[in-house]
Amino acid sequence: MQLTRTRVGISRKAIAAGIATALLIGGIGSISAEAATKKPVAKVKKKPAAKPAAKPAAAKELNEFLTPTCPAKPTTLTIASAVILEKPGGLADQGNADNFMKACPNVKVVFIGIPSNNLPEKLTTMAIGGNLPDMYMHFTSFTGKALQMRIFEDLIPLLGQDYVDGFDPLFLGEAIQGGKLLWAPWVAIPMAVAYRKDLWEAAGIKTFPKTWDEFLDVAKKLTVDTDKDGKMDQYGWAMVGTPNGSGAGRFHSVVLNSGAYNLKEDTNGKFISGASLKGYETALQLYGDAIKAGVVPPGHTTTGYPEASAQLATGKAVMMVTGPHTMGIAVTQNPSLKGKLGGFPLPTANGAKPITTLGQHGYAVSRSSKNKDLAASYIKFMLSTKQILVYNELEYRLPSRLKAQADPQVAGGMAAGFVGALKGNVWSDSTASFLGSVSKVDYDAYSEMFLGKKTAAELAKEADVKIKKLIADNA
Amino acid sequence: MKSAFAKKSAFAKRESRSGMIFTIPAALIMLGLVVYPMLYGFFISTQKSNLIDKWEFVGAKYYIQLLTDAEFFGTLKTTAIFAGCVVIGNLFVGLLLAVLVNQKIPLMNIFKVILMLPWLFPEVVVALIWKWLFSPLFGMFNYVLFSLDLIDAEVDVLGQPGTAFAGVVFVCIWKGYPIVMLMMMAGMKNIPHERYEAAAIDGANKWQQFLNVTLPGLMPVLLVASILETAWWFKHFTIVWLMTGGGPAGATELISVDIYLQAFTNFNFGRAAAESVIILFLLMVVSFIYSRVLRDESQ
Repeated sequence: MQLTRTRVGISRKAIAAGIATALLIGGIGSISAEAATKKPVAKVKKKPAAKPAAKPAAAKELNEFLTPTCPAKPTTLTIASAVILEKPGGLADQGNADNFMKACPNVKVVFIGIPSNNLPEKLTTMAIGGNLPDMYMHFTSFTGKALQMRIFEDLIPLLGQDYVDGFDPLFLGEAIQGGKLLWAPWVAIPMAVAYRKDLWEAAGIKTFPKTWDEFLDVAKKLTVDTDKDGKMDQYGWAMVGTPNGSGAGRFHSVVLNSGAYNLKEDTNGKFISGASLKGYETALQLYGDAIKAGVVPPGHTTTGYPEASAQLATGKAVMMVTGPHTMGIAVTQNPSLKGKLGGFPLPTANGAKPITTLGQHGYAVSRSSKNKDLAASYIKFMLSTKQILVYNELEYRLPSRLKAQADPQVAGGMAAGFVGALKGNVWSDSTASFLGSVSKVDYDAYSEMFLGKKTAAELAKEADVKIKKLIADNA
Repeated sequence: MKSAFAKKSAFAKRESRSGMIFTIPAALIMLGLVVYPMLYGFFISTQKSNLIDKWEFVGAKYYIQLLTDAEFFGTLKTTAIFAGCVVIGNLFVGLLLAVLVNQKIPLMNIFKVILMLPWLFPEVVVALIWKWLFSPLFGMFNYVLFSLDLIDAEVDVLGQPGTAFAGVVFVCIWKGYPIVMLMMMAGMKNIPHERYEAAAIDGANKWQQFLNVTLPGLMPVLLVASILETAWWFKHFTIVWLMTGGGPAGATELISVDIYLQAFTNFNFGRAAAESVIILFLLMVVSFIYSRVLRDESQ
């Protein structure tokens, strides 16, 4: 059973009731024990040609997930989450908690809402203060810091190897470090290009751009004065130009698809800068050219992720480098967009096979938690196929569980282009604790590119010097 | 006589002991809340640490790094210019408005309340409101300029280094002038009216009265306001971080933003603490200079 958008939009209680009903009367997919595990990822890796087929649901497993082992005494499970604050994704997070509390009346699930851009800083502060919640939402960009602080609990003993084998190996490649499962992957947002199908068709564009030059040409065609008042009111590219993680992550995807990277570990585990590679300069040049060509809505330096998503939703812009979740947000803002959004893999500098990032997030259990078993039960509950598909239905995020991925809802519809992006190469970010500072180098570089006072080559050179300094300072 | 002296001495001793005993709780609180954090901050600045279970003594490494880092001095310069502009702006606007609202005009109390409003808004709200007002796409600022035919293309105030810097300074003055105005108003109440009468008898006009009576009378308040404002805006973070994040291209990257980035983005708490200690000393020096200069002037 799939929840429809209309039902989801009614109210939080309605969706919670829907999820509960779905769980009680429907079957929950089994977790395939045969799914192959994968070694920790190399920096760029290929998606396995074929995944092991998931087995049909086993009744025993179903019952385990539906009736978690509940504590005898009243217990409070605290969870730090970014999704709980988001619309519409927060409905899924709250729905999981509501259903779990119904299954375990002795348990009270309490969320601590933290905006995703502030999550690493807030968790760092909580860890230092010794008051981390039982579980916290984990983004891969936080891995390096969390490893430094040693706040992870290894989830393999808590969840069981059989259960762990039911995760997509790509997700596990990032989540398993040093043989330990540091977080339970939930969903991913592979980076691609989201676009407005209706406006795309109105412009008479038939094919997806394969190179950045083609991308820029398409963006120019999509930049039009629709009401003929002498002012542009539709732009080609909703560029996230703010100096923060949202902007830097997207810029780095462009860098990757231009043949470079910001930071990685070499085969000896030594950090190296990739800003001296030609691709870094190419990416900067693309940003500069796009601004010069006027294909980006004004105010790009202060256009963050919410603003760019709004530009896509309102038709102010037609394309955006982003993950599938943006479509969920755009549809929430403008329900008439249902079916009118799509995605295609990122173009590259030379038309080569594109590279995407998983952009996964999941839940980790704090090493200091006193409710680790309960947290593990909660994780299994929320990652059950039906629950995870509700989140996918709301925001098109790609589920981490193989069984859920096999559902037609995931690979079809508006998210198809994003799922397709994963057929290319997948990049995993470095686990350096100073990765945030490297991202700052990235956003400083494109911010300066916007000003047009320095050339892309000069800025790439400066970025390389800064990254090398960071490596030396943090050696 | 000797006995009376001995008695007095014993009384003085007892009184002194009582005084010390009464002072101890306050002193302990001061030690715990002020001195300990400062010493702990200094301790962290000598460590390479995750602040949980990894502590490695690195001595003055971070101080040497900072004092040989041109970028750090660039950030200090930006911060000094920012703080200077905001403090001067606040003192000027605060003083000007204080003089205006000090006039006997009907409904002045309502104006006083309205003028105090910016101070009552949380900094986060102020930053977000102005960020939206300056937005090139949806902001009122561009809308007004367009309506008046003053521009023919959107102005991205926070997108260009010069205008972004001016923009955050303007917003900080907007947020900060009311407290200065309040202090000035209180200061004006303490200036004896006879001085104005004497000045008027001597033939001084309003401007001369302001220069020769009001301003000298406000010097003690100006001293306090200058020290507090400088310290406050030199380490200001919220409005600038929320409006520009230190950008574009580092144009509004203040020392507080740099400290935050060092600690939470670069995960280098030692260097962040070292920066904080340097700022503490800098502000102490600035306060000392202020107090000397303004005290001399007022005397």
